[in-house]
Amino acid sequence: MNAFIIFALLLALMLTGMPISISLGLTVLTYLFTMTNVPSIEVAHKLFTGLENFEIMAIPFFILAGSFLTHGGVARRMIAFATSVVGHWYGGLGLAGVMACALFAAVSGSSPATVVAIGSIILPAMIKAGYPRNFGAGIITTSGALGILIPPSIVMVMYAVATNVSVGALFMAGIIPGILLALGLGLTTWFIAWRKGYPRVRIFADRSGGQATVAGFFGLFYALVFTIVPPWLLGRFIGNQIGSAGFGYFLAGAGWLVLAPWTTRNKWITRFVYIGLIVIGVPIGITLFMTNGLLSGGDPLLFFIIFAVAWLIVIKICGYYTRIAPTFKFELLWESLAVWRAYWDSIWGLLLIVVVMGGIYTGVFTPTEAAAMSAVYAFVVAVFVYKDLRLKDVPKVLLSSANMSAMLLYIITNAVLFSFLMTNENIPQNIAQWMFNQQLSPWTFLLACNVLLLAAGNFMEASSIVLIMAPILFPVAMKLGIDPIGFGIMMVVNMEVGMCHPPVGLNLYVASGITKMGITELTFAVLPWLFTMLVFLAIVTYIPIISTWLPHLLMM
Amino acid sequence: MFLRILDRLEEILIASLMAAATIVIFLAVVHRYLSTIPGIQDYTLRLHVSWAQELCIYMFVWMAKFGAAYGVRTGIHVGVDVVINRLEEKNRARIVIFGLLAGALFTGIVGALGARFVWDMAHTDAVSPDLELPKWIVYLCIPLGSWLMCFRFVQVAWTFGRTGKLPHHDHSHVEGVEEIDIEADILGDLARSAKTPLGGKAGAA
Repeated sequence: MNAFIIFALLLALMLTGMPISISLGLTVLTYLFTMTNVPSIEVAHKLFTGLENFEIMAIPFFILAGSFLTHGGVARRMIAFATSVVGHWYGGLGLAGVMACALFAAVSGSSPATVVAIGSIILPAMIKAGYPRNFGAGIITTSGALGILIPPSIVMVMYAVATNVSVGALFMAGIIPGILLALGLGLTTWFIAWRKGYPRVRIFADRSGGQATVAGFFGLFYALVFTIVPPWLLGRFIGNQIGSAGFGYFLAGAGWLVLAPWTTRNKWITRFVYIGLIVIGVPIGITLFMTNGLLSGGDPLLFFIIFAVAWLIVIKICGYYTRIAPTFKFELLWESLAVWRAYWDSIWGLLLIVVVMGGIYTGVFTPTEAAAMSAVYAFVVAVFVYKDLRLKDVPKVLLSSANMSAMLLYIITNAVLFSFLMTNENIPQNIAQWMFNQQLSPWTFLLACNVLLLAAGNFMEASSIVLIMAPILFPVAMKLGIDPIGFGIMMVVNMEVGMCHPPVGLNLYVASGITKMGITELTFAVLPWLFTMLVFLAIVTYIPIISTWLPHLLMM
Repeated sequence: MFLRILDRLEEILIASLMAAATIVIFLAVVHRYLSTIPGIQDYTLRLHVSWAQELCIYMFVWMAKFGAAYGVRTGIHVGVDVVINRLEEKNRARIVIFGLLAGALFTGIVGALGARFVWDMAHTDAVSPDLELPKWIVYLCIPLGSWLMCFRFVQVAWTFGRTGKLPHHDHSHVEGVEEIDIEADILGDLARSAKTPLGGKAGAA
């Protein structure tokens, strides 16, 4: 009965269109004043203590970092990088949009910010290149939603605050589903573009799609090997010498970062690295890997010769086909050179992924500290490295991030108040008990959750839904033995779907602001990708191992 | 005139709290890592930064309370407006006014409760655990922020009553910051960069 009164009151207040935070707070006040004798002074106390949690403070930091990155030219460079890698396929710029959204999502924690950052640059470029407007808008609206699935993610912090699940574990859990969803959206994009014959990106008019693809991937492979292997080996060595592995990697990484651009200016060093790391290094790596595992006990030298010859043949064939490495006189040419350049241009943005995720995973930072570090880092990159944000604009960026964070924190405050009322009245426990008594199977419970969350996505915005629903649904999920992390990822994917369809899909409104398309038109434009997301939602819901495997592997 | 000063003060306060909190946490992390390095640690260990977390939380709570008031002015607090947007103009206006006044009522009450709470606190000698600030000063943000928010709700309601305009927040750009070059020629740049061979003066970074 009490539960019914509370929810009816909340619903009635919300439907008048007043801010959700205010309707939550007013519900609590009305109920406390009329039905209970909880001292009302408790409310004022809760309004402060509700926020007294260091984990919540990750939210303003991530918002600030996101603002700096959006205005600091990081997005533009990530788009150029993505275009150089996947642009050669059908719907090239569209695929680049998906990949750029995924990359940007890995440094930003919010979906609308991702849509703004990537969409405002790639959508005009797509229209100029002759893609239909609704194709680009559909891609960016839905891919932007990756922002809350690929860590860091503000919605995950909200879920963690509401349920006391570890933020770090949730972040790790988001990685694999995020990559899978990005692949799914990319596949949808490719399929539509292929059926309708949308243009590819051709940096060089006289080269075939196959040549461009192989050369592009080779450039990416080379760039990754070149930036990961030397500091890794060197870091291990330094770490052993000074007895602190983390600091060793840090020194090696920083040193390499300073040296790398210089080494690439010299043709001979490039060739040396090519032969050392790619021609000889890859077979050595494969041999070491295989003799330690599958083929243990065999003769390493024999294996090395076999792998080296096989690898040389592969390189030779690729080299002839793509005309990038005809002889040992190696040079990066054509698309591989484009990838290489774009990669170095966006390295400062890409490094942030390493700072945040690496920092959290190795325990160097707590998630909140990682968020603060990424805000400082993003500021330095935007203002001093890329110089796309002027120092005098910084206060405005600060103000707008403070505005956005204060809004979210205010919802949290009132949601904490609301859940205090609910616990006081034992409502979550009663609902959990009731559902448990219905002999609900986990399967039907998850289905019900999805329906409920998707329905809620029609009225409320993601953070409010998580803060109101998670404390109610979570105890039931625990009783039914559902994994808390898998459940969280499922909720996040639900929120993503809610962001991409009317009436309150925030991404939709942001995209409509950029493209000047009407909401109705845009709603139809996103349908193919929205359908992909729904299929993905079903997969994540019923195969939780996708999300739980990585955090369990890393023992978090 | 008084209003404009209040507006500016509010903006300066929340923007600088945001910046300060970020710097505090950044310095605390840097300090922690310097303290693990032999040689430097002798100096850094003399400084105590255990209060950094608490200070950051307090700064953000203050920012949240005053930022929420600023948010009323910029229209960032969203609600469920699906239903009322389908009503005819006159009824919609009534409900919007009701919503705004309800906001004012809520924040007014909370402000009053907060004021009483602070008053009670001020008569104890409770201090915060790490910073050892008197608690009543820390909690002062509840009455001040809430009453400011209450004032903003009334202000917005007043403007709406007279002109029918509600503040509306646009997510796609920051007020006053020059848009980055959206006509950026990504493809042209890629082709140009790929045609400059490695070596020579064209560096990669």
